[in-house]
Amino acid sequence: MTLRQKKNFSGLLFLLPVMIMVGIFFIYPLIRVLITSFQEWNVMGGSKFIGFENYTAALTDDEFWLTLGNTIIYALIVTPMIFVPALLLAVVLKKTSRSSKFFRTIFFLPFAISFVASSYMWKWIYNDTYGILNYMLTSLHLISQPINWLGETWLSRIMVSIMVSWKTLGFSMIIILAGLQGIPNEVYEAASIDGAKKSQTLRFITLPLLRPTLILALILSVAGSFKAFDHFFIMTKGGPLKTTETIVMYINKVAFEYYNIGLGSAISVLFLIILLIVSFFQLKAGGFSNE
Amino acid sequence: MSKKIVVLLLVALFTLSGVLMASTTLILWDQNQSTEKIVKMFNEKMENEGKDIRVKLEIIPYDQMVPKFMASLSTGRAPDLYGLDIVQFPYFISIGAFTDITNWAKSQPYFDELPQGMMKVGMKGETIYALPYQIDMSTLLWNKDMFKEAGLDPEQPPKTWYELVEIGKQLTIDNDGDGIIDQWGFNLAGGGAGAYMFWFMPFVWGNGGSMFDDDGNVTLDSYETVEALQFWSDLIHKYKIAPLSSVQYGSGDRYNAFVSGKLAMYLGGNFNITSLRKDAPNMDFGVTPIPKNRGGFATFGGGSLLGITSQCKNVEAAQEFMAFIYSDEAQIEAYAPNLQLLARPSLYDNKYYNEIPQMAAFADILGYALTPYSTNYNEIYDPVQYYFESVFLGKMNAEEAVKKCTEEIKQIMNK
Repeated sequence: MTLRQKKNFSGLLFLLPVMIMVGIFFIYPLIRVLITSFQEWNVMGGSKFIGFENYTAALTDDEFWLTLGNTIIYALIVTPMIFVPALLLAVVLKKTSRSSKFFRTIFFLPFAISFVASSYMWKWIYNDTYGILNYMLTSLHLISQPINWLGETWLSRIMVSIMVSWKTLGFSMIIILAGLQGIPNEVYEAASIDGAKKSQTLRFITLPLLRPTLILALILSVAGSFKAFDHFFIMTKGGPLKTTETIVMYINKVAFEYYNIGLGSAISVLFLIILLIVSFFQLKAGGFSNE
Repeated sequence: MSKKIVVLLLVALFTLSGVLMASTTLILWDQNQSTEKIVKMFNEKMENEGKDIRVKLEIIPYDQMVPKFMASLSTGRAPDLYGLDIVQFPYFISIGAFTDITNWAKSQPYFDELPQGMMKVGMKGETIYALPYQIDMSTLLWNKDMFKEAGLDPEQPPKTWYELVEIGKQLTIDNDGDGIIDQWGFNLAGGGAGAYMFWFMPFVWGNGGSMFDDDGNVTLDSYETVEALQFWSDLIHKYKIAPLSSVQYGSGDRYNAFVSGKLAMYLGGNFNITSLRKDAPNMDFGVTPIPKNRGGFATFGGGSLLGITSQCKNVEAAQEFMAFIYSDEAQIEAYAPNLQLLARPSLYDNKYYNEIPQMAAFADILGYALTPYSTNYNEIYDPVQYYFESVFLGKMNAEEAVKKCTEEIKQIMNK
């Protein structure tokens, strides 16, 4: 064994625990889902292969397209709502001082709460009979009647997005902060010597150098919002009239309420492909394909 | 090298767990924490009698009951006994997930007193697969203090739809004259088809209608259903005794409104009593059947059935444990203190229930319990939710909704 081989071997050894975890909890289930998606799956055993039947069933199902559409609309609403404030906060809190540390913690804190808990919390806040939001707005005479925040399609999409933004922007902020701190100070110094204004440094230095980080944060946040489940499941139950039912809610319904694991798996595979395409274009838009 | 160690460790772990789960250790799945006490009582009893049977309880959260069961069945690792949500039984019985216990069940001394409506759901033809276990029933709860404040007789809750509206109007109050309702007379039980089945179907039944007949044919398309749907819609849009938002309220939202004194009459059930006594200790409330119109009183008999799965390792031992669960001792000492509704009506006269005035109503209400039977039960949720919600939101006329809903349910049933 040459030294190089030895080094490679010990490197692999270090990777082993992660590879085992990924293998058991990601690769294996993925393969199973793929197999199941071609089966008429039977709980008690004796599943049989039925070719692409599950896929045609999924693609001809109105609810598949409806929930996919709902999910895309939601992702389009929530992504900027997470991203813009996260970027602004990261720029503002870039300098390390006592107060910036304090505020970083404050903004990151909601991320530590589970989606389930925060969904219930915000459902209370939004309630029209005893919720604090309506109470404050009516007390200030900003509105004359309490508003049913989760009762209208568009309004409920936005109100749920506000909760999600509150909860997750801290995470995006931390990623962007890490990227910001990775930009060498010399570049800024050179720029200031050249007489660049603050807005110009942001436009011509910070943003381009931050691009890889931004794309990473964007992909994570878009993929996260495509996978939306808990918050709609709890806050709107997909209502009113299925207009906020997401695709993951639909998969859950098909697989575990209708007991149709085969069809559920097929929809999951389709969903995975869609996510891959979306991520691919995001990478491409970020210029990663040339590198 | 390290891989070998990992493999060895895994093998050791599996063998060890195999030893711990000897053939006489039965696994029980249940969502109810108070079953722990029964298991403890049973294991102690077995130890004293020198028998080699032990039961291990695994608490399964409600949302996980079906996915976990499906996963375990498909890998051959299903529990020996399962206290599963009643509405899931027809499907799981149809795929052979439970064991026939007909002869054993019929030989039990308490067999005849178990609620028949719920019993049917655990049967296929004449074969019994599961017995009524824990009971949840939909009822109306009312705040007696609010009745007094409004000048109503606090001991006279509404019994009919008409009374519900008349009383509801007097209890829907704007306290400070700012045009905002501060107290609602009533809330719809919204937030999903499960809630509609549990709390709205009693209105259909109470109007003489039904969803299925005894042979399983869909009978939803009737004037009785249309009228009941229209009535719920009217409670919001015409009589204005319930907020529009309650169409989306989950039971938690209604409960919070009731506890915080913003709601006078509340569609809940026996399962609210313990928590209400804790969350609103000063509130004087009563429990009564859901108001009726042209039919009789009705309630949804929900909760869970207890069955022995087809993958049970020792059916005889499982039956011995089941017999213990239904014994006077276990029922009264484990379930009654938590005000759990017992499956055996003859035990309702016990020291724990007798201390709580609200519990007195349930012996009667149990007699009205109905449970719809369908192997596609979960799939009918979809049309039920969509069309009923359309009517309550005022977006579809009741007659049209019932027609379309019935058509879709028929399609699902004929699949």
